[in-house]
Amino acid sequence: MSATPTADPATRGDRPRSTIGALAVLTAALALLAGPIGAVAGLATALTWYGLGTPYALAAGHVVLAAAFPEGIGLETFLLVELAFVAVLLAAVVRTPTVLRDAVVVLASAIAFVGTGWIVADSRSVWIAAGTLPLLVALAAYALHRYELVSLGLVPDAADTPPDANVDADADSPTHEQ
Amino acid sequence: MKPTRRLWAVAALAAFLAGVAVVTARPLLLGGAGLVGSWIVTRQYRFYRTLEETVDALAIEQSAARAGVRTGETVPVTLSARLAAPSPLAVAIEGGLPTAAAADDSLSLSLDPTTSATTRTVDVTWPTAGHHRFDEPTVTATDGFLRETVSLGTAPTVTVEPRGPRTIHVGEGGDRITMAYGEHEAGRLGSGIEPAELREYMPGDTADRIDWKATARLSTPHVREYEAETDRRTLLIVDHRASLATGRPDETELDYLREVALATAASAHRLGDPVGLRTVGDEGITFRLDPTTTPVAYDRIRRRLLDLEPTADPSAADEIGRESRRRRTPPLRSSGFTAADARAKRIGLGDDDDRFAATLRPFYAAREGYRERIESDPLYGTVRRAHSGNTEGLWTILFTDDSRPAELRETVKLARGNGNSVLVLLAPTVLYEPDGLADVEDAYDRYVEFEDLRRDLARMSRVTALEVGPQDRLSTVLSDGRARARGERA
Repeated sequence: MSATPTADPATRGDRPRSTIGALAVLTAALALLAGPIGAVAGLATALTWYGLGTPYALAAGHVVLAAAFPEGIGLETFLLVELAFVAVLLAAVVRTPTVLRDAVVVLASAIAFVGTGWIVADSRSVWIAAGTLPLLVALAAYALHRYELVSLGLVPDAADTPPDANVDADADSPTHEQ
Repeated sequence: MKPTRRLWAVAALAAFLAGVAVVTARPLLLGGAGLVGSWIVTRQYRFYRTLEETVDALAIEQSAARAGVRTGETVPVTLSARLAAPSPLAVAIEGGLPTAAAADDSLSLSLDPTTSATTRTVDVTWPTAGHHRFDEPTVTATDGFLRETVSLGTAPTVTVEPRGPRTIHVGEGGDRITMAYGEHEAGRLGSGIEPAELREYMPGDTADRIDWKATARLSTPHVREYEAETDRRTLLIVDHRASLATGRPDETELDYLREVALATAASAHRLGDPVGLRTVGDEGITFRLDPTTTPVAYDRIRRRLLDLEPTADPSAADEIGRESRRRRTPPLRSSGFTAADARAKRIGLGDDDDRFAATLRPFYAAREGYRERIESDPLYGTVRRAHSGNTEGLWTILFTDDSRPAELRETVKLARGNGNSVLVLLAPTVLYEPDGLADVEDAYDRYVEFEDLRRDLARMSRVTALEVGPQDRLSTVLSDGRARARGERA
């Protein structure tokens, strides 16, 4: 592979205004919700996004923000915080040709994963939620992977497989017919 | 789609956030893990959409310059890719060269997000004969986080044919003979097992020849005659001098003659005829086996024929010599005037003192000197030695080319002596020279010269002369001759 593109704007030097705007909104929202530490979390998010990209920015923002709520966080605040972070995610897809579908995927997956995490953590325990969440993400990723294989015809049909494929394993290469 | 290390790192980041959430009992960090998971799924979805569009817009073609090649030949193979619109993915395309093909450089392309078309050509060698089908080119696309490989594009087939004689023509003047060698009848009655006829007993017939059943049936003594059985002693004389190396690799005159000699020996063996072999190199006889019917002898003949290689010409001026001989010999060829003729003519002049005889005498004397050259010819010497003993009923089969016509005539005359039959299998040099058909008209003229020689030989009693050559090249030469004949008639 001669060139490895990174579609992530933060790491390829392309700084879309939409994401920068979303980060500004995020910083302001976190400052309002959590005070100076929230502003620091917003700045940390923006700096990490600039250097490493969106997922690392999300992680950095949440880690700093966790320090801002030592006594835990209420549902409303939690929803507002996550909504601000979702805006950053949405801003990354706003310039794609299929913005609507991408936005739906972002919103649906974010609601599913974050909502499941919160509900399970609230009703059961954090460690069960921490086990459930990666499982849910893995299942969704695998489902998309299978969908892609079927959609692009990369799964061999049963009819395409010769019935004696296993029996004739020692036969000559099919590319060489003498 | 397969994740790259970068995506695994992001997944590990989500797992880290979940782990920290458990350790610190902060559900907020689970929100971070959930959003990172959302980012992963969104990335997957976008990669899938982009890949689908890229595959739809991508046209890949791989093609070989020729669909039919000979073993060991090198053929350019081209791989080209064109995108209807540039893709944000990096696309690498690997050609599907068959396993049996060998290329110095890899047949691969890459399309980065700024290019929409590219082409690459590499020289591919085909060392193995057979039908080789290309695999579809493999396209690997990546966005840095995910990677997918799909097969896409054309998959041509290249047929590689082995070098060596394929369609061997054995015939006369371009006409193929149906049987050059086969069952032979003695043409006379004698002892045997095939009944031929019944005849009445005649005084002198021995009593054991009386067919008692026929005698009882016909009331008078009758004798049954049988077809006489013979064994045709066959001697193959195969010329493998330097001149027989003419031709493309593995398609030389010797290669073609070898195939015919092998078939002839196999036929003689099948019929139970004693078969022997002499091989003649530039220095003289290189192998000698007198006619015999044993399987061991047949195996030796077969092995020797298969191992036969052209010898080196000691004169070290083979090409020049052959060319000059070719130019020098047509008068001899057309006249058929040989050393024996010269000597007969000189003796016929007697001791006449007239000016005519005096003028001719030195000419015939010079011609006789030419006989010495013929006697030093290895092929002639081989035949002379082979026919020095009891040669009655010996069928001599000569495998040679037309590069020494005068010597060949003398050799055939010698071989047909003592009432023996001779089969001459001649390779026309013009049909073997790699650039022999560059000028088809000249090739046709040279083939006509060869045909004159062959007919001269075939006109001799008990001599059969056949040509051995590649069918396709002979057809090319003859079609030119026919076209020329039509043009002259018009």
